Amino acid sequence: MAVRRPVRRSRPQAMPITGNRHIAALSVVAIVMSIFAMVISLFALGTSLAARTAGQGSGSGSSSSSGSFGSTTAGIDTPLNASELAVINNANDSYFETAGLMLLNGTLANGVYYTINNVTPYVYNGKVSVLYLGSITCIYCGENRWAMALALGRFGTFSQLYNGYSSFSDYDVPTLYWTQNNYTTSDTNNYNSNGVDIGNSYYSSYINFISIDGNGDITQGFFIQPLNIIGEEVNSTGNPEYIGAYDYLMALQGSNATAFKGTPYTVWGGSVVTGADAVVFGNSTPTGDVLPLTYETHAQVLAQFKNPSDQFAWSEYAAADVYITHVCAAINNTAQICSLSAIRELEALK
Amino acid sequence: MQARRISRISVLWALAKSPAYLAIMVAGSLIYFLIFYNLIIASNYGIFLVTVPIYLVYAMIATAGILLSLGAFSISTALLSRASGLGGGAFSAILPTVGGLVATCACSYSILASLLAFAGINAFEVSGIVSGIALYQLWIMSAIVALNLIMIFYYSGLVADAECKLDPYRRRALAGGNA
Repeated sequence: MAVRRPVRRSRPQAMPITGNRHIAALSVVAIVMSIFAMVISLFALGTSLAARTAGQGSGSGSSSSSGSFGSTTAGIDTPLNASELAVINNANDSYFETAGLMLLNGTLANGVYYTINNVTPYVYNGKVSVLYLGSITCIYCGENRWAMALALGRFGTFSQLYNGYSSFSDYDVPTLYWTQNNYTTSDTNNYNSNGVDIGNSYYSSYINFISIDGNGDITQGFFIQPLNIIGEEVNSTGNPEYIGAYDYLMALQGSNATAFKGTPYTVWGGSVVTGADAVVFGNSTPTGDVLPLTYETHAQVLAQFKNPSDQFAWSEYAAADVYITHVCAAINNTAQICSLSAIRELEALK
Repeated sequence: MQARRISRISVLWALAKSPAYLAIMVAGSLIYFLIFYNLIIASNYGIFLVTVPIYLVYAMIATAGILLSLGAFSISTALLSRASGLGGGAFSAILPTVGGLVATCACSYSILASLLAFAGINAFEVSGIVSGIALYQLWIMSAIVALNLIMIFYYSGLVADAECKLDPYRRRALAGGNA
């Protein structure tokens, strides 16, 4: 009798999509990608933690000098000297005229925006008011304060202004502070611990200038307290001018056209300007995330305003012209600056 | 007959090997970057002003592209329900859009503030939300990247499980003879 040999039946092999020979390589790729992702995440979080730690390590100071452009607080809170103040207070009217004409004929390389949102002015002590709500950490507030100061200098005088910066994450642009910040690092997780900078050293026979700047840690990012917290800070001053101004700003929130949509948030006489009226970070609009203004000192900026010859300076003067136009309309053109032809032409557009 | 378990890595590798799905991944990433870019410049007067580390942005875009390709793969191969595939694709689009609204200076949240106001949120609440986003901006972007990675992990697992259950003939057809 023949021996039946067992028949070996082979099991059907599964057909993976990729095939066995790729598994080892895939594993290596996966591990590398995972490590890469973890490194990126940890580095990003670590950078944030390092910035917070560094910020907590530095104390208050009016003359701290640290870091390079983009992460510097050199000279923060130091008052402008007399010659620097003169650049703001005594700017030549012809500069405003030239810049205004450039704005009207479209030869500015930077964006300057003339928007019209008419409201009833806030009047206190018989004068219309310029109201400012911003943050010392804010990049657009930082850039726009130069134009604001130039504009306000046409209607009055700053007895004091201070060197400042926007926050590091907001490109650390050199700017002016309205009041001596006595800048200190603080706990940005606690809105109430930061405070609000209220007031300035400006006087004018034509207008009131009411300024409210949210405080925050310059070594971190943009920060501003919620409006209700700001209101509490304003009310705590007991100052009727500022309390009335805050109530006036809150009354504007009922309309989308005039509501708060970010900083700076300003009212110039009878015109609300939601946001900056210009974006001027260099001689032209940046195409990337490198802002030339970040790499300038306060002295360099003021030197350009003193003898304007580049698009940066002309654009800032033009931005000031926009604000001047709003104020002139509110004060019936009683100030000398209102007689400039460029201002008259801009006013005619209202 | 016991099917070999397909790994998530195998699924992702299949996407990378396929010119079509790799193209979807790359094109999706580019489109998402354009969405992100345009949201940023629309809020910043035409300036691409990003206030978070740029590598977080790139990680967000890349992971969203992978998720989109994964969703497209699952739909085209019918390995998952159309709803599941579309969900992955939609998720991949939502997060870069959210990133475009928060990855810039909170001082210029005009789009976000307008959206919130349109939703009936008053100015006080809008300012509070904006303040909060400004405070936790870096964490929000990191969370977006993490969410994308979690969704990639989840969907690749679903696809791998679904693929396991196929009969060998259909699986061979999907593999295109790549065994």
